[in-house]
Amino acid sequence: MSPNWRLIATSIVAAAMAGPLPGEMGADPIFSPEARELSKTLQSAGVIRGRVEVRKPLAQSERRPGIGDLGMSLAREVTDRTRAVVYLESAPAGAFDDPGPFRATMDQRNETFVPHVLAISVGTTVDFPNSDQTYHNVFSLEKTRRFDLGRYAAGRSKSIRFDRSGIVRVFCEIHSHMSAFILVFGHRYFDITGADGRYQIAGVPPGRYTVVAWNEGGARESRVVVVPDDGGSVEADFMLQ
Amino acid sequence: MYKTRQRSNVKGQILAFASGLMLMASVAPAQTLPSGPLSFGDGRVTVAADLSLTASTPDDRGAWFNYTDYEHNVLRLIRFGVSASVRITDRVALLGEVRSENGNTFKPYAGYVRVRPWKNRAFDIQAGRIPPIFGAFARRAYAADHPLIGYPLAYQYLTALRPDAIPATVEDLLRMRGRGWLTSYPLGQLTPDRGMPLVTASRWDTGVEVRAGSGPLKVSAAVTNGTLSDPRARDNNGGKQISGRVEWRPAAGFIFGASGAHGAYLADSVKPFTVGRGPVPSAAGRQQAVGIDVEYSRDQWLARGEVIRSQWGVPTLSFSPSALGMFAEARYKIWPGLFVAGRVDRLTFSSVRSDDRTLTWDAPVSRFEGGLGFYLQRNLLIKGAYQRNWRDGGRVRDRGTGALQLQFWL
Repeated sequence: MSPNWRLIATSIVAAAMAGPLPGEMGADPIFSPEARELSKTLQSAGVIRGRVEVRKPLAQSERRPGIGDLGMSLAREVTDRTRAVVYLESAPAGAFDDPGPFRATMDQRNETFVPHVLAISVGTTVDFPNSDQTYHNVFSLEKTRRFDLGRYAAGRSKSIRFDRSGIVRVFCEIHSHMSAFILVFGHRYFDITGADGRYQIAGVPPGRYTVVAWNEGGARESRVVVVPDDGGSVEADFMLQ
Repeated sequence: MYKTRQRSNVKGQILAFASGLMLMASVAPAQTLPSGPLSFGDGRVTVAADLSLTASTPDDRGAWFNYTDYEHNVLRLIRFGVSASVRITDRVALLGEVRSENGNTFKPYAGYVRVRPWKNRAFDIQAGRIPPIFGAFARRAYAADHPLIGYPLAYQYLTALRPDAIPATVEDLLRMRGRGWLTSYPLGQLTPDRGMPLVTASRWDTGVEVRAGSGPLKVSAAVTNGTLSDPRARDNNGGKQISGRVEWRPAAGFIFGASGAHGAYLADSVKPFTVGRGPVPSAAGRQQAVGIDVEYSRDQWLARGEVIRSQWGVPTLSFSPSALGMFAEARYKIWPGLFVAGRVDRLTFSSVRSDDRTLTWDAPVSRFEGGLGFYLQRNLLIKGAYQRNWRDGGRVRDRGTGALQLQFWL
């Protein structure tokens, strides 16, 4: 599983701003009370981790039969449909304090969106580079974010900023078998499972949370976890049918 | 009696259209409709479907600008198609499509085997009822590939020539000007029937085709039973059609194609009637056609154009009637899911001298169509269009028609 670099970077910056805690080096008047509070929160923050097993992942999207084609098309690109997104249903206080803006990338390679599932925070701008030799036309008709980037060639990239939370299904107008999901969250407490099904949501303040696991096949499961006051790690496994 | 049946037919179509519209509209917001083809056996079998409901007013009867035969009007049509592909190995696949129009029995539209002899070489062989290699429009088989509702004239408008009946004289031919929907001639099949378009988009031919590609260049060639105007499942004309196409894609979004075809179109049943009657030019009974097509797209724009010239040899005539069809169309997406489109279209015919007058052998037609399309969801599209036709002959010379089309596919 890839580490949540954005969260780690945010934590490092915040910790640097906060400096040593009172009692360690004595009170230092240059740090604000808010910075000290943030530092305390980070020190006591917990980690929710676990594994998601997707029992019946969706079948690969196939091309339409291509009756009008004069020859065979490219070999099918296989995407991992077992990836799940795990997130906190309700965000803790301070969840919306991320500095942003963030940036993410969804590539178009071999007539496939890569990654197939992307999870981002509200305010994130997603780049859609075209790495194929043919045109692509990324669009979505979802209410969360309705857009159409038009046709553009290899080497070019277009971007869209996502300002509302929700699930955005993305397609290519030219290649009907190309589809992807972008999950937009109003906070930063989410992660996408790795190839081994594991996830980790770090920096979660102490408290009681509902954790949700989602897979594109429509499966969704939630459970309540409690992050203790002194932080630490909490395990929560899911099995999506 | 006829009018009663006609009214009942139209009423039925409108009711079917309305009920389909209501059904789809009711489920569309919930996003419950399937969004892609069904696949089985780890993707080896893929099944897709395509439904289009088209209604228009006023009816085109009497003018017959949009009829593909006496019964079928492309602006008043309920079409349901099911297509499938079966990947037998990495090199061999079976593909087919059946269609039902206006609730009639399903008929095969395509059915062929696709073979790639060398896995890593862009060389393919297709045999059976195969997609036409001539031009570009006829291969855009799915309704959603068309930004408008009507077809280009060259691919749909019925000329006065028939494959199973021929005029004995020039005057016989000129009497049928502007009456391609139901023509009759004294030689061959005497029953009135439809004429032929330059290229038939509603039926595919049967034969073998090969395609080879290298970088931006692709070359295709085909041998088929029928011709562009009269595709055939079984050969009834005593000769094959040879067609070819060169396609060049110098850059993403730009396609340039040049096509040619030459083959026997006249049914064997007509040939005994031609013995000893008038001149028999070398091209008698054969159709020859050339065409160029261009497509350019970028950002929100898509523009296409085609020019097709076709010539038919008629054994009893001293000249070979020819026709020139050309159209240009464009689509612009003005908002996500909403587009505007337009097409200008012209079909002209060669001239012939009869008595003391010179006339084109069929009545030239001009067409304009403009419309809007809106995606209710990715695979549910509603289109509205206005089409106007002008013809230099026939009973009705000018008619405007409004049309609405709902399309769903997976």
